[in-house]
Amino acid sequence: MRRYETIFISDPDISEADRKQVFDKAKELIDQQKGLIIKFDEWGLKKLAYDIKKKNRGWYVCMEYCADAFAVHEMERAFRIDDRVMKYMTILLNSNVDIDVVKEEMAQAEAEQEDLDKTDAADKTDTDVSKDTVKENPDNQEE
Amino acid sequence: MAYKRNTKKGNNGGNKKRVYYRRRICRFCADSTLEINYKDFRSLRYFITERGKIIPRRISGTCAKHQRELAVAIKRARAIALLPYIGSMEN
Repeated sequence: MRRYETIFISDPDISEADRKQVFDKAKELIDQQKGLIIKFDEWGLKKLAYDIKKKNRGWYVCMEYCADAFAVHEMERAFRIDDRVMKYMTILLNSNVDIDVVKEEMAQAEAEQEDLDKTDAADKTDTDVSKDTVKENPDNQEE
Repeated sequence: MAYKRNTKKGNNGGNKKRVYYRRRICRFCADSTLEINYKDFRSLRYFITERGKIIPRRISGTCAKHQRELAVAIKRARAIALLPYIGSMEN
């Protein structure tokens, strides 16, 4: 298995449902090839350094996954056909990874995240009152 | 004629002694926590000119190893429109 990272820029002017469809297709293609998605990170709307398809904004998505070269090939082919994807770039991070090790790492990271969330939640209950008052003020000003 | 020319050249060379000779330290070697990553285009911006060209290492002082990594990172960032091929971000 190889570990890859793909960044792709989707059209900023398409609807939420359309966008979801594009993302789901990319995920599905990797799943079909028995790949494993490690991270699916939406950076959101960003300004492009240069125009692509006469647009100066784009919706960035960064995904990290383990898959074979064929899966990447398939996904890039789909991107090329789909004109809702403006640009993509795939980078090889590691040419030989053990999928079980990666899964373990993911589980570990998740557990750590959960611990963090728990501590955060505990903190929040203490500071909830003060936060609410702070939040309310800007709303009132806007009105 | 030829003799004169030679002396001229010689004089010029003699006058232009390399005055500035400070070598800046590679910032990536100095601080090992710094990582070169194409996704971190804000810090890469430090290593390109206003026109978007990669600053040579004789000016930035980056060491050969890190300059190679930098060049790859900048080129990747360009490919995915995080950095411009030409021109500044402001226009």
